[in-house]
Amino acid sequence: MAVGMSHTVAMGQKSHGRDVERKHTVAKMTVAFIPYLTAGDPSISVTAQALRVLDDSGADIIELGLPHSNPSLDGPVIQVTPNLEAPIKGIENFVQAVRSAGVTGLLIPDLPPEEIHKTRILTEHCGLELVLLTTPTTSKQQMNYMSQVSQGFIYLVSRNGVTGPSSTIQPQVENLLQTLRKVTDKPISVGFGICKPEHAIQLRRWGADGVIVGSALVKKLGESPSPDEGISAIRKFTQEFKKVLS
Amino acid sequence: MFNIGTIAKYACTSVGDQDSYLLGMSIALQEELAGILKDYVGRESPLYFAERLTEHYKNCEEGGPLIYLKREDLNHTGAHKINNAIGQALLAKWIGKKRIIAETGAGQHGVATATVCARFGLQCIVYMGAQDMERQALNVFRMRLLGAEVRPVHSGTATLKDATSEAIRDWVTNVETTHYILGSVAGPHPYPMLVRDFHAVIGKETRRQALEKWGGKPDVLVACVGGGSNAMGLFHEFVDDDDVRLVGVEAAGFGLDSGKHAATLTKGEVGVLHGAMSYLLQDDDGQIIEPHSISAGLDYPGVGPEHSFLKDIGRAEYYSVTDDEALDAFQRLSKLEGIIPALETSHALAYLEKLCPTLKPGTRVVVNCSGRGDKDVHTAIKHLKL
Repeated sequence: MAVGMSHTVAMGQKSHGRDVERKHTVAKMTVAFIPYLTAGDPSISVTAQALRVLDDSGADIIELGLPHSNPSLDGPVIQVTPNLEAPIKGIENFVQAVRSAGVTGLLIPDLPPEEIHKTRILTEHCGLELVLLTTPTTSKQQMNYMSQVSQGFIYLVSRNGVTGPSSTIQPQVENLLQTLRKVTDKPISVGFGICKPEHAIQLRRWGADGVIVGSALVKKLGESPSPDEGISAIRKFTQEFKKVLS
Repeated sequence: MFNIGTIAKYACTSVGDQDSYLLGMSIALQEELAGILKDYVGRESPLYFAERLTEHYKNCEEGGPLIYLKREDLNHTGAHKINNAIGQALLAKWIGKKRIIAETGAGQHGVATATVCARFGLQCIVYMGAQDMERQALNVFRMRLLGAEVRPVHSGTATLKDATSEAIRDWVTNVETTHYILGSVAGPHPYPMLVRDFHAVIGKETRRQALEKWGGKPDVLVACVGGGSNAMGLFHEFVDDDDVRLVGVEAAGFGLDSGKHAATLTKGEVGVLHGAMSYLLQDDDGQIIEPHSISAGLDYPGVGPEHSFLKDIGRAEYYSVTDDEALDAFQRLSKLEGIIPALETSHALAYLEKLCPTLKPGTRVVVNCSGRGDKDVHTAIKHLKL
C-alpha cells in the first residue's frame, strides 16, 4: 500500500488520505547521482582519470574519500590500505588546502555533534560546505538539528552499519525521508548499500534528491583486471544510473 | 561506588528519556554491583605494605619511601579488568541488551568479558587480531572455554587497533541488540568516562585504606598506562587532591628512539582514533603506527583522552620504561615479595627504580598492582635464563 501511494505522490498527483506534508508538490524529475571513490585506490593517477570520467558521464557531485588505516564506518570493500601521502597537519591547514584544490564540500563521518559548531566556523571561513549525516538510530531531536545545520545536502545513511553493497534498501528509508522532509527543504541524499539501478528507482520514488554510491564503484575498480577496464566499468555504471535518475 | 550520574546519563542515551526510572534503576544497579564485586570478584582488594621492596628502596640513613601495592592482581581473573567488565555487563543486562561484543589484544579483556558473560548468561563475541590469536593461543582457548566466540580480524595489521575497529563496526550495525564492552578508557564517549567510573572503586578503596592504615593520603600514585584504565581507576579519586602526585608509566619497548614502543604520551601526536581525540602514535601521513611492547596489554597505539588531558594540564606525569627494565622489575617483585606481577604492572614497578631515589624518607607510594603474571611466564621463559 505504501509503495502505491508514494508512487502516486512522486508523479505529482494529490495524495489521498495520507498526512504527508510536502513542501514540493512538483515531482522531482531528476535525482542527483553522487559517486564516491577512495583517493589513491589503486593509485593517484587512476583516481585522477576516474574523476574526469565520472564528471564526463554526468555525476552531479563527487565524493572523494581520504583513506585511513582504521575506518570505523567502512566495510571490507572500502577498507583499503592507505596509499596517500597526506602531510597536512591540523584542521585549519587541511580545510584551506582542500579548498585551494577546488573542493567545495567536506564530510567527516565520525564528527561528534558537539564538534560541529567549531568545525563549521573553520569551513565557513574558507567557503567549504559542511555536509552532515543522519542515520536510522539518530534521535528525532538530533536529526532536526542536523537538517538545520547541514550544508549542501543532508546525507541520510540508509541503515545501521558500515558501507558495503546491499541487496535491498531498507523500508525505513522511506519513513526517514518523509520525516526529514517535514522539517527541511534542503536536498536529501541517501547512501550506504546502493549498488543497483533498481535501488535508485526506488529511492527516487520515495522522494530522495540524490543517491550516493560508494562500495559498488570502488568494487568495480578493484575487481577489474586493469585500471583501464576499471575506468570503463565506472563509466558504464554511471551512465546506467544517470539513465534511471533523469 | 561509582558515579550514578554517569550510569543514568549513559542509560538515558541508550533507551530514551525516562529519568526517574533510570535513576531508580541505577541505585538498584549500584547495590547489585556492590554485591557482585564483593562476592564474585573478591573486592575489596588489599592495600599491601611491601616491606622488602621498601627495604630495597632505602636511600639514606633515615630510610626511604614506603611502598604499598594495591592488589588488583587478587581479583577474580587476576587483573583489574573485571571491574569494568562486570559493571558493563550489568548495565547491558539492565538496558535489555543480550548480545555482548568486545575487542581484545592479548586476550585479558576478552577473557574478562567472556567471564562476565558466562556469569550473566549473555551471548559473547570477542574480536581479536589474527596475529594476536596466534601469539595468545592460551587466552583464545580460555575465552572459548568460557563460552565466547572469538572472531579473527584480518584487516590492517591484524592486531588490537584493528580488532577495536571491527568491534565498532559490529556495534554500529547491531546497536539495537548489542552492547559493546570496550576494555579501556578509550573509544567514543561515553566509554572513557564509563570505564573510568567502573574502575574508580580502586581509588576509592585506596583512600579509605590509606586513612585506616596511616591516617592520611598516599603521596604518590604509580600505575602502568596502555589504554589507561587501571591508572584512571586509581587516579580518579585523587585528581582534585593537589598534594597527591599522579605518575603514569608507558611502554618504551625497545627504546623511545627505536620506533618500536608504545609510549603514546611521550612520543605521540594529537589525532582521532576510535572516536576519541587523544595522543596517538602516527606516521607522517596520519596513519596509525603499530606499537610494540613485551607486554601485550600496553600495546595500544593510542591512550585514553583523559590521560592526554591530565598530561596537558600538568596534573599527571608520564614516563616510560623499556622491555628489559620491565623484565627486571618482574623478577624483582617475584624475589622480594613473592608476588609475580603481570608484565604490564612490571612497567609501573620498574619506574620505582628512577622515582624512589628522588623521594624523601617516609613518602608513601601506592603502586597499582594491576595484574598477576602467571599469564606471562611463557613470554618470560623466552627472555630470562633462570
